[in-house]
Amino acid sequence: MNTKMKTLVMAVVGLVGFGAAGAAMAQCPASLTPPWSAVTTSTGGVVASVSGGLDTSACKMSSSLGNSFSSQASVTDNTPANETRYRYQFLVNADATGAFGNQDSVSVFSANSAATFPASGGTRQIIKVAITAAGAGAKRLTIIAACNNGTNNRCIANSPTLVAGTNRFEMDVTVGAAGTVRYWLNAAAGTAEPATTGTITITGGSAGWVGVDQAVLGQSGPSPTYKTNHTGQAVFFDTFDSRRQTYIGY
Amino acid sequence: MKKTLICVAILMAAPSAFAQTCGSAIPFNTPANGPTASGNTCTATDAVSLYCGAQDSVNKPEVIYSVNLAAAGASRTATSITIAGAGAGFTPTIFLYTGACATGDGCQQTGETGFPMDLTSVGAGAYTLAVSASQVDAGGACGTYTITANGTLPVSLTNFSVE
Repeated sequence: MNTKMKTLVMAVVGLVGFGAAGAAMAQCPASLTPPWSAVTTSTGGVVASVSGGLDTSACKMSSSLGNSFSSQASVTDNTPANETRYRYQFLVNADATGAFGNQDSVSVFSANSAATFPASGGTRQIIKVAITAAGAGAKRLTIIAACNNGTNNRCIANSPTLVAGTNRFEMDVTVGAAGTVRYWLNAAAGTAEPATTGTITITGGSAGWVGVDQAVLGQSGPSPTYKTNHTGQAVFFDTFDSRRQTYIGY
Repeated sequence: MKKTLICVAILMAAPSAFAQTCGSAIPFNTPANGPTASGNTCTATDAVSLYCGAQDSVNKPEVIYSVNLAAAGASRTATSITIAGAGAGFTPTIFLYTGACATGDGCQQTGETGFPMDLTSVGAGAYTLAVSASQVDAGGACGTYTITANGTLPVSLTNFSVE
């Protein structure tokens, strides 16, 4: 777990981790709340703090699903408050899920608004990040951003292929009429903002979603083949950090 | 009493002759002993941008079918739907889902060439069956395809009269 509180120019939205605060403890905590606001496990989903952090720390979060479409294994951060600017970062390691079939996909993160938009048939998900197949067994991240594009309100992009082991993912979301989404995958070390890995054009803006009011990290929403073929397989997370303005880096 | 089951020949025709949007889904239920259909997604429109909540289908056209499944048993003997096809950079893929057609949500099963769609765990009901490219394909991927069920789904009752 990363227990280092970062010094920020602007206000911190949240820094939540997966181990005991402070000391170099060998034993991981039995509960993830706090620092997380809530833990959600359903239909065979399991989430826990386990030893062997992804950033050389003591602990990391393990998330695995049961064989059900409704299975979920996630933690929730309710500290954001309609944030119109939301930056976040986490480490993810999906090696334990093995090779991905072409039809495999599972959601691992969402940044949600307080209310559904559009009111009828809309969504709270301003951002959804899923691990998806990239072909030949490889994995990548598919990012679905809310946008008022006049059709399905979804603007979509795919990241480069994930590397074996731990991947560091960071995103900068601006919610509004001129909404933007920028992201970095495995950026070089440093706290000065580098060139982005990619951006998503938010057609029609995202003002209707107001701002990020909740973050959810962990597995949910498996595709049919993922549900069947990856039951009980863990995806590991660590070092979740969020803030309003400045690049996080490391 | 006479029940007349009419195999509607037009349902077997190439879907390019029909609208292929969500508003004009093609029924995929006849003939009784193994429905099959062929087509070319290159002549279709891009009606769905995301399948199963996360699988990118932007700029990948699809042909949309509607399927009514009976409960597994005597009325529905089909246990799978296979797909075959060809096209540059095209991985023929089928998605069976319950959500609104254009959303691609509510995935129940998927299949691709060499990996038939397994229907054994799918319950009775009305579904959308979309033929498109895989999430691993690049935008613009399209090609020819043939989909075939290995049994009844069941057959559609298109005419009923009492004499």
